[in-house]
Amino acid sequence: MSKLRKGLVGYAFLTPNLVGFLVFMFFPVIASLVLSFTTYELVGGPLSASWAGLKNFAALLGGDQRQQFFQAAWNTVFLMFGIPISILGSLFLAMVLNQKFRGMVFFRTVFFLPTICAGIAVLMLWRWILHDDGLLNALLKQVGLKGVRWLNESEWIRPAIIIMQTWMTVGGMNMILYLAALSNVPPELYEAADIDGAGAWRKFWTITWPMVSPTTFFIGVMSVIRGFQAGFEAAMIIADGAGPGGATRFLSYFIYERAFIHYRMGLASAAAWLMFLAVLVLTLLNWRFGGRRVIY
Amino acid sequence: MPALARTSPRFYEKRSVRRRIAMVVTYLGLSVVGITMVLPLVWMLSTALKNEASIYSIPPEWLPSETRHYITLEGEEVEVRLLRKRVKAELVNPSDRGRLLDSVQLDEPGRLDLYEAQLRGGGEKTQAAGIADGLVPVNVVESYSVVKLNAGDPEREKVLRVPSDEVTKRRVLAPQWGNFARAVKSINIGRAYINSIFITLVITAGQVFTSSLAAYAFARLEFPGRDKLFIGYLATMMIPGAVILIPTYIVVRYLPDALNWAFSREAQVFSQDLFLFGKYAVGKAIGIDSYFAVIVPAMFTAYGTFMLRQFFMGIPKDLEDAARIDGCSAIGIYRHVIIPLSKPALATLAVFTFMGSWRAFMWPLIVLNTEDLYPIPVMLRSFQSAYTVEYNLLMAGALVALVPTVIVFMAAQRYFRAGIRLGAIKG
Repeated sequence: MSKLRKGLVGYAFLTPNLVGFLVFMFFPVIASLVLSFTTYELVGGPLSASWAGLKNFAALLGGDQRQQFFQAAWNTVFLMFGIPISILGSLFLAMVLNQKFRGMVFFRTVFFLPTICAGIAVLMLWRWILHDDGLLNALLKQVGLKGVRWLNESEWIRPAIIIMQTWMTVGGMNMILYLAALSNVPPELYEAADIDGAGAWRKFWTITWPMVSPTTFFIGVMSVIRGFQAGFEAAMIIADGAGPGGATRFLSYFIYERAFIHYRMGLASAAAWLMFLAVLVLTLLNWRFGGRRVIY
Repeated sequence: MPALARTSPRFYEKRSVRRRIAMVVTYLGLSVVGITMVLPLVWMLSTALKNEASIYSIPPEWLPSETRHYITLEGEEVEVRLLRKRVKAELVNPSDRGRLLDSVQLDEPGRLDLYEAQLRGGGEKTQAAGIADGLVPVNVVESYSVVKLNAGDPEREKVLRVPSDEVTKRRVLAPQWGNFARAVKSINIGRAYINSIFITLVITAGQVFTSSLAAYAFARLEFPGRDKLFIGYLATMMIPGAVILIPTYIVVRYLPDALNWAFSREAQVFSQDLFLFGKYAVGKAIGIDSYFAVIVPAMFTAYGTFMLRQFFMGIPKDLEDAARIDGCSAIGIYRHVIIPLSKPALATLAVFTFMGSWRAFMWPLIVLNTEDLYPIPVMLRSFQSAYTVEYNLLMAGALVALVPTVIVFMAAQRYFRAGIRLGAIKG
């Protein structure tokens, strides 16, 4: 087969995907960057956009958009505080399930249930649970605690979303990943530790934790990347948008709001690119300083 | 404490007792976590089966119940409908004696209420009525209920006045299955299902087909620029969806205008509403409010290509070489060697794509304005906006949307878990 023919065959296979990819991935990325330097507001065709230089970025970082943009960034970071709780919970559950015993498959399925259900329907359920007269407050009252207005107070709605997300994710994908990692730990290590009389705590820190650290690293990186874009659905369904005092104006919602409610496409694109830069920097830092071995 | 030697019988004895205790603790802990996972979903079902009056009951009721009233007639207990409950009371203060206080209605807030109160200065407890801003000691003269016998049967219906203490009240299990029918009637859930299934199937088929072709090219074929292109694919996996959201929207929005301008300046066919069989609205051909807008931009992701390429790389090359010697072309190898050997990976990608597009919310929300085209998540949101406080209906609708999905995903769980282990997590 000639080189030319080989090349043609290769591109023939690639074309269906590549065309879609160029139109709906490469092009939008470039277009988004261009848009972020314009003041396009969706009146008239895209060619009517006018050049704005760095105005959008200046507005976000130091101008009239600063307050809400920084609030959105903080709200997003706040949501990420839930990540370590969820990851450690997943590891703990995986360790418990990893002891071979009867009913393990049953419990694994039950823990996986919220992940399978996740979506708008379950968010509606949580809006109801977190309601002033909802289940959570009723249960709190039964054990003698005063309820909290989860949905209506700016300082409670984010913790409420963290609780919900922990419920949704703790027995999900991360736990499955940890189960796979734990089953790869050679049992001889634990046997040797038993003979040396090591306690459970000691065994965890000297065997389990280091052995699953690549998985932890992988999950951590992915969770942070996803964390930047998180919260949109929760904001829309549970908090009707920006929430009390803008407490659920996460970056994702901020961008949606600017683009599709205020129609400020240029500004929204600039915000999206700032988000992208943050993801990029954080990921690179992670790989540089944290990544030793990652399962792929 | 020195560890017991492995050879000592006590070593095993002690171990087995400790193991048993550990097992009990483990089961207990797992059950607590398991209950926490299931409880919200049980609450969902319970709420969906309640009537309006008992959604907000405190303490929370897990079984959907309603209050029913009974009286005893000729030694037999019969159910009645309580119409009114009245109390006639007398002021206790001697100077007011004889002046009847307002009839006090029990059980309903907003009217005078009857309390049991402690008089100032001690003494026995007395009955009191709340009027204006305080309690007034009263003497109950009569307490009666007006009830309807054989309610719902116009021929045998009868209104009775009976002493209140002869009416017994009970919470009875009464699941309102009708809520599901009401929810389904108030949202067009059938149409939403059709939309979701159609959208999801096309996205999944397109994704698996184009990704597998591209993945085969990246994994096995040699062509100029292959590795650079692949790195380009990989790089886009890190880009947040928000970045491409806006330009894609603009493209979708102005595509019909551009096509009309180019091909159909008179008829403007690209921005016309289309109908299937002349009556079912199926949106426009392309642009905002079209299936095209929901489906096509979601069909191409780097992730599917990446995942399949990794899998194809692991297929032994000898098989292909053998096929090639037998005269198989590249497309023949793809069809007869690669695809049959990659069924688990293809199924995994299909399940992941299916699940992802089934749940997709933001993009359909942005590009669809007509309810006829809404997939389930967007339909649920408009349902929520319409019935903000009727949580029983909301939960019933949400369950109708959820249950079939859960069944399908449970059935596909095997592939799902396999996919997770392949490191196949979409960022």
